[in-house]
Order: sequence, then C-alpha cells, then structure tokens
Amino acid sequence: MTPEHDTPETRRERVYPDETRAQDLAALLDIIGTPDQAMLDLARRRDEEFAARRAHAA
Amino acid sequence: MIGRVLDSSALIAWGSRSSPYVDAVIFSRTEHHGYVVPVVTTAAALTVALAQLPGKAAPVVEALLAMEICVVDELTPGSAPAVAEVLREAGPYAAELGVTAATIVQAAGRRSLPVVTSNPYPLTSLRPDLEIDLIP
Repeated sequence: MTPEHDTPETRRERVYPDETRAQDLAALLDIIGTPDQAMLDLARRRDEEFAARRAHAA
Repeated sequence: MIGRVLDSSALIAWGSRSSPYVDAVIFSRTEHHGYVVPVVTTAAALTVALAQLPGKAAPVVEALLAMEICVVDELTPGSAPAVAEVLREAGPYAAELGVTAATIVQAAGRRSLPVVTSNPYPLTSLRPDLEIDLIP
C-alpha cells in the first residue's frame, strides 16, 4: 500500500488554456446566469485575507 | 488567488442553486488566466451531496465536475492512511461517521486550502486550525 496522500502536495500549476477556460465560463454562465457582484466582491476579499494570512505565516 | 475545497454542504448549495456565494467562488476561479486555480472536493463528499440532492440537480453537479478547474480526490487504499490519520484524532466513535469530513480535511490540509462550507463544525472538530470560508 502506497501512502500517496500522506505528505503535503507540492504546488503543481496546470496550464488553463484560454479555449478551455472559455468553455468552462460559458457552461457556468449557462447555469448561474450573471453572478452576484456583491458575492464576487466578498470572494475576492476573502482571497485577499487568505493570501495575507499565508504571507504572514511565511 | 488560491483554490478552494468544497465540502458536501457547498456541493449541495451548488447543486440546488441556493448560494450566490458558492457560485461566485467557482466563477472567480474560472476567470483566472494562465493556470488552473482548483476547486477541490472528494468522492465521499460528492456521494453525500448527491444523496441529498434531487435527481434534477445531477446535471448541474456533473457540469461542475466536467470543468477543468474541478479536482475530485478519491478514497483509495493509497490515500486511506492519511485520511485515517485525521480520523484518529477524533477517537474511535467518531471514526465511522467522520470519514466524509476527514476526506475534506485531508484534501484541504495537503493543499493548504480553505474549505467552503455552511457547516464547519464536523471539520473543525477534526482539525481546529482548518481554514474555513463560511458560506454567508
């Protein structure tokens, strides 16, 4: 048995091709319609908070 | 921008179209140019969510799973020891019921990502310092 998940994952950035991203965005907009701007702003603020915590911890 | 882990409550919110915040989290990851900022969940959390959603929600969940940003961690013989390590902290009686939460805690811990959830307590009882992105 290989303990494949027992160590922190190294950061592996996967390329997000523009064409694939456009397809994903189209699928999303089809489901959710126009996203709520206040919620987008909240998600962005929380991203900044999480990033700040990481910077502080580093 | 960093990724997010979605627990079953977040997946239910997505599938039932009940949370503009979950929509916004997923949408904003998809807007990111260049490299994938992942939305991660686990097969166990997905199973719990699907069990609680009506059948008509399945295509909505499947659409998310089909996106390039989406990653689903499976519970395999290889990943079981690390999930068991999370459960061990909770004691013998919590273990049976806590497998789903433990897979989420483990998925978040190994990637250092916050968990989007409306119900953080099963998660923070397993790991008090887990970062939570509470659904408003």
